[in-house]
Amino acid sequence: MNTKENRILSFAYKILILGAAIGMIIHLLLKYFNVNLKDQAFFFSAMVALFAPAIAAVITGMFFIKREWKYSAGSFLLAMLIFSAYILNL
Amino acid sequence: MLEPTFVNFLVSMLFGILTGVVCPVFGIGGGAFMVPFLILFAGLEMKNAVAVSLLCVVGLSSLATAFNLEKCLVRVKLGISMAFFAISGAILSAYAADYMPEKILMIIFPFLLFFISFSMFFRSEKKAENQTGGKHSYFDENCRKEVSYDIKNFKTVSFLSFFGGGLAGLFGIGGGIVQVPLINLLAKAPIKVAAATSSFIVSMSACAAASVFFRKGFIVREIATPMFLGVIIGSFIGVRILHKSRSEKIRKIFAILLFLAAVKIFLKALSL
Repeated sequence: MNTKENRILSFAYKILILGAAIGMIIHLLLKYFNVNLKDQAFFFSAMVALFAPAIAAVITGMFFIKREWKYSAGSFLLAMLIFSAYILNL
Repeated sequence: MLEPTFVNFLVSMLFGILTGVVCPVFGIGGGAFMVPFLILFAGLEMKNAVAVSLLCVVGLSSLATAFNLEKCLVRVKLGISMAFFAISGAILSAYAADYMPEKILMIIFPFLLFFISFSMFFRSEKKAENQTGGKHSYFDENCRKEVSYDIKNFKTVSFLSFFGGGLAGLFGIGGGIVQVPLINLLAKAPIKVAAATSSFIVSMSACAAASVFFRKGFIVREIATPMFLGVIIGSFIGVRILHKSRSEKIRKIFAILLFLAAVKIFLKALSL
């Protein structure tokens, strides 16, 4: 991957993890003021944190899509594996 | 379990910050520190401790990956290939952990900690190795020179990373203890590239295992929230002091603390 693609992927990682952290802070604030939505706030921020690498894998797959289909398919497969780990609650 | 008081909130957060600061400096994931803390001080069951640790490891390794990507240290192609096997291992072991008795997990875990503490204690700081005419390169900030290298044994390394992922699901540690030597010794990449690519893989395998635990309701939000926030704050500090610190003595102190924690967990497991 070239420098520009590295920077985009890095930015995506940072935004997602910081988004999750902000979600956690909102969860704490809602908890402090005893608002009913506090559980949903935790759920969504945990989901953002957990799926940040999966979303990064999708972005990586899109970078490789025109150049090397093998790695592109591999990246999408990774994202699918992560999502399926959550969805297939065996 | 820790009562959800303000003091305990602060303790969890401070521990998260400490973990976030020291882990990038030592080049290890946070799980090896977080799981013993959660078992011994927060009083969590092994499975809950693993679940909370994995969530924090995802945050820590994702941020580390973000910073490493900026420095072009991550070999993404190798990472994708290894992550496929690591994720498979992580998912399988996360399901296995759910069915394994608590006592067995707690007896095996200290041996893993013994190994990590020994490798931390006796590790020597290597200078960047240069392979002339390598296909890939990065700029080493310490040596102030361009280091070139080639990736070897691509398929073998990818397959063996399955076992690194397995550690994530079973014990809540990232699996860097397996991935870094694999990339460094077998794939012949420099240690900095190995650590950076390992973070990329660990972020993926830990999130797959954590999502299994999250779905099963093992994550304790009263402790996970402050620790996650602490880890994020700490890792921002950690990556900034990464290249400035002389961490030899601190690393040895932490290795000894980890060894003591392992002994205590082992004794606790025997009394279960």
